[in-house]
Amino acid sequence: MSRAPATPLLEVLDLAVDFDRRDSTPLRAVEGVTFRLYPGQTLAIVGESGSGKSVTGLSLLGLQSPGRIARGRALWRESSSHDAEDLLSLRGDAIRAYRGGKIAMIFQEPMTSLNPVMRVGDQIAEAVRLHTDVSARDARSRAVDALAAVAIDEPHRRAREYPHQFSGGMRQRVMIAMAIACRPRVLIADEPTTALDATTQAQVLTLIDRLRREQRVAVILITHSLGLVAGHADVAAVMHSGRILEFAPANTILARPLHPYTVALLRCIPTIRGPIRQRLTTVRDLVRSVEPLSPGLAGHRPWWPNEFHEADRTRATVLIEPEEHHWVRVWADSKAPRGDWAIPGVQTTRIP
Amino acid sequence: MGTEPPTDAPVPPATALRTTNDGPLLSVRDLSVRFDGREVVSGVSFDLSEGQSLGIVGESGSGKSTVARAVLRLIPAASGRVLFEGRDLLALGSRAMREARRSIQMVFQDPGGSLNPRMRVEEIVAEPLRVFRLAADGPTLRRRVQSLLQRCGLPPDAADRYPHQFSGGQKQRIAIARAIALEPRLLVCDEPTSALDVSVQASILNLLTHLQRDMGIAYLFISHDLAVVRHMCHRIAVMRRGMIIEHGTREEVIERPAHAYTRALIAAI
Repeated sequence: MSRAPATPLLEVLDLAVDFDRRDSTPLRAVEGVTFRLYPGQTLAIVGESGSGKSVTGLSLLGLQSPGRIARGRALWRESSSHDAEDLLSLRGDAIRAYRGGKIAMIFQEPMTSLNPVMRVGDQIAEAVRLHTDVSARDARSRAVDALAAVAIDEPHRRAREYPHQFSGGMRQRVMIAMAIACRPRVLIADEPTTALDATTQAQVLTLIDRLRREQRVAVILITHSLGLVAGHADVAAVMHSGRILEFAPANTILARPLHPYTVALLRCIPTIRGPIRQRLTTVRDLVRSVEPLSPGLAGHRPWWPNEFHEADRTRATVLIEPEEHHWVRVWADSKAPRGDWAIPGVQTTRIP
Repeated sequence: MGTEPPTDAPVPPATALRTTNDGPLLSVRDLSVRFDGREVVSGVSFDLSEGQSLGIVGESGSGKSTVARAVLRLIPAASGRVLFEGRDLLALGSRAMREARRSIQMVFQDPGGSLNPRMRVEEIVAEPLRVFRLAADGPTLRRRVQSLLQRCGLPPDAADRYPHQFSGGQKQRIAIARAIALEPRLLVCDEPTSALDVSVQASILNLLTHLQRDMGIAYLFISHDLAVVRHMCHRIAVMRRGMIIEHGTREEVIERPAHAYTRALIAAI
């Protein structure tokens, strides 16, 4: 497998997103999110509902409304010879050119994202014509090709059918077909398999994997389950309370998680092998425990948002890199952090 | 809260319904269900012992939820027998079935959809107790509801709030509190955690494990997630196209799957 080029396709720097509240100060849904994404790489953003993972994805396409970008940049570099463009500064037609074009997005609920009274093929062709300068006829044939690419049998016939004639898993394939018909460089998949059963889940993930490999699409896989990271992501960022709390190559984060929250997220998933525990670990257990220190974090106190300690809200936190390519967020005053500021990002592609 | 209607014809307490047979709590024999002339469940048979869990796994469309609904008589069966405490539920008259329903409760996948949005949590959890006239007066009922909420890990002030004020996981706790209000002997759980984050799923599964140990409730546990079923269930039945294709203890089914389809399900995880 080839090495990814040294230029990141996307560099998100210090992103912060606020949501206004009627009777209170704005809610900071995303705070200081920073990462690099390379072509042909899958980055998993893992977190519970409310962690800010979806808002992060939406912000890249200017879809964070009613949230507001409070800070940050999202630098897009077509190639090393191109100037970087800040996606967060784009408005109107400029961002719409990216949306569904260079950056495609698929959502959890395929039924609500598809127009129920429009033939599936026409919907895909419409998206193609919106973003590329092709004839209606060519757009139509690209739609059929896209359906074939996502392994839908008899694509010519199925293109003439309506969304309700497809099963849940098939509809999600249609969404992916629509996303790839415009040949995006980045695919943002927000919980693409949550509503699907295990075998269909595996098929959809395999499909996304193939796009990454064959077309060097960079994928941002947004999920609540660290279980999905195994085998389907190169790197993973764990988010909580709007912040990246741990960032590392997928294999590293699964084998040697440093933050106790990541450990809890891993242990809460029932497994198909190994001993059956009486009780699954929950995040609540972590809150109750007295900050279990990972040996790899000696001297540092892992950052953890403690709702009972008002003072914690204004205390600074920082991502440190205790081992190569492995970042974890700690309280800034727990020890002088190494270097000034880290931009998590790993240039290598998947370790086979 | 209103006054309790006079309890002139009280339903006998749940214990009186219990028979003294030593057989399984639930015994399903040759159950078939047809929709529009098409057989969607064919000849399904299984046993579930008291206080134990049986998991039924399969993909969507395999018929696993249909089995659960037919057992509860929420949909009619075409043929077969559903022996609960030795009596065939499918042969019961409506009054006898109503009594049997006290001992059999259900928890669904979508906790939001199974809770009446216009009712306060207290009313929701109290409803089965009211229907079966199991509380002498208002204060007794309220105390009973409080203890159920607490048992399911909900804060005391939950009683006065409405379902939309709760997260998905808390809604499922409310649904479970309602389901255990009558101290059932069998709880049918249809994908109870499939709509939840894995971290929330863990706490709901822990709650169900805990309740089973405390109350000795048997679970018929329907899920597409084999790992969850392995965690929860003593025995596992694998369904495909309306039929049980493999059935055994969790060790047998997961460690030594006999059927290629079961092996594929395990490999997909």
